[in-house]
Amino acid sequence: MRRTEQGHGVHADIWQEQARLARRLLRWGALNVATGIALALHPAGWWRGFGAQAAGWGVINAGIGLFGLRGARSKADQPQNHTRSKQREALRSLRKILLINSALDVGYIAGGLAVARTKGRESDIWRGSGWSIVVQGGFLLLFDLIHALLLT
Amino acid sequence: MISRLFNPRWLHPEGYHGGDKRSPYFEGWYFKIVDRTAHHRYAIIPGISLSTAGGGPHSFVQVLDGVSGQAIYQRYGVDDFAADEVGVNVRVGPNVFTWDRMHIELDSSDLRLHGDVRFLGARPWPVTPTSPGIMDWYTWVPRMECYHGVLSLDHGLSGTLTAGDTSIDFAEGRGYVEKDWGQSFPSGWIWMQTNHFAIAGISLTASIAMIPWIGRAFPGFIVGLLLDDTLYRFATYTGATTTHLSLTEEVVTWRMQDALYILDIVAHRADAGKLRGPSRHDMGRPVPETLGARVDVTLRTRFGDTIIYSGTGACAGMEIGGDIAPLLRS
Repeated sequence: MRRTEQGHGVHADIWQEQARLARRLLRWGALNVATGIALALHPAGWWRGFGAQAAGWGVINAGIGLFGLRGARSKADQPQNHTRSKQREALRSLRKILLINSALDVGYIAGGLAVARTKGRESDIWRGSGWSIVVQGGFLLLFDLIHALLLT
Repeated sequence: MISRLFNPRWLHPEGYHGGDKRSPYFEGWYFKIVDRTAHHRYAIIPGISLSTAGGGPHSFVQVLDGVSGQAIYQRYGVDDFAADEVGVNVRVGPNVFTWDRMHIELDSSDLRLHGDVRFLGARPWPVTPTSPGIMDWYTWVPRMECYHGVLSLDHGLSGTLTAGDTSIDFAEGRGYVEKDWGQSFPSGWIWMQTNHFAIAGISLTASIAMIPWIGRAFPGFIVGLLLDDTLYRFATYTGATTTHLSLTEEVVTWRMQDALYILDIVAHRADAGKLRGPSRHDMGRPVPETLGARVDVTLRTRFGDTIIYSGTGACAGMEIGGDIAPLLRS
C-alpha cells in the first residue's frame, strides 16, 4: 500500500507557514531597502533608478511582511482557528492569494520591461527603474509560485 | 548536492539510502508498538551496519521490551537484508517490515517473538521537494553525520504477537515509526516521542543533538507536535529557538519558541533498557532507552498567551545519549 493511499493528510500549521512566508518577505524587503538606498547614491543614473525603485518596493514588501506576521499572530491567538477545517480553509485561502499574486507578478515584469523600453530609451534612470521592477516582479513570481505549490 | 536533486531517494526518507554506501554506514527503522492496555510496549528496530569494525558488516533486528527493559540484538548477515529505495519494504532474515505491517520471527535465547501486526492509517511527516521530511533542507546536505525521518507520527494497530508463551493482542493499540541513517549517532542527544495522549491522534516527537557543521558543531533540534492532523513544527531550520533546556535525574525540562508559539515540554524519566546504537566504528554504542516516560506538553501563543493544547503523553520513548553537556550549555 502506498503512503498516500494509506496515510491521513498531515499538514503544517497554516499560521506558522504564514508567519514564515511573512518573515521571508520582510527580510527580502529589508535587504532591498538597504541595498536600494546604497545604490540610489551611485553616480550612474541607471543604478540610481534601479536603487530607488528597489528601495520603494522594499518598503512595500516589508510592510506586507509585517502585516502578514501580525495577521498570523492574531489568527493563531484564536483557538477556533486551530481546528482541521479552519486550517484547511486558511490553507486554501493563502494558496489562492499566492496564485493571484503570481498573475500580478507577471504584470509587474511586463510593466517593468515596458518602462525600460519606452521611458528608458531617453533616460538611464528610467531604464534602471524598469529593470528594477523586472527583478522585483521576477523574485515575487518565484516566491509566490513556489510557496503556492509547496504549501503542505 | 546537485545529483541529489535528481535522486528520488531523497524524496523518500522511508526508503533505503545505503545502496551505494561503504563503512562507516548504518540505517535503521524504528517501529514502536503499544497495545491497548499499554501493558505491552515494544520498540522493534530492523537495520543494517556496513561498518567494518565490530565483527564487520551485518544486518540486525533489535527489540526493546518497554515494560521489562530487556533488549535483544539479533544479528543476521548482510545477505539476509533487503530493502527498497522507495517505500517501506525491509526484510531482515525472516522478519518483514512494510508501510502497513510487520512480520516477526525472532528466536533469541533471551526472547522468542513471533507474529504479525498491521499498521492502520499512517500519518507521515509531510515531504515536499524543498522540505523532504523532518530535516527540511538539511536533508540535501551531503555527508551529514546522521539523517532522521519520521514515517508515521501515529497510527492504529491490529494483529497479534506471541512473546514466549504470551499472546499479545495489538487491536486498538498505537504505533509510531521513524528511522535514522548515516555514519553515526550524534555525539550527544536527547530524544523523546509519545502518541499516548488522552485523545488518539496526538503525537509529539522531539530531539536535540550536536550537529557537526563545517568543522564545528551546533545544537540542532527538531520538534513536531501533531494535533488534529495539524503539525506544529519547531526546529533550528524554522527559526525557532530553545530558551530553556535542563536535566535532572527525574525530568527533562525544555522550552522553545518561534514567531508565534511557545512550546513547553516536561519529560518525566523512567528506567531504561540498553539498545545498541551506531558509532563510526560499530553498533556497540550503548543507547539507554525507555518506553515508559511521561511527557507534559503545553503549546501556547507567544503574545496572547492562549493555550492551544495542554496534555500528558504516556508510554513515551526517551533516550538521553552521549555527551549532552554541550546541549545543556547552549
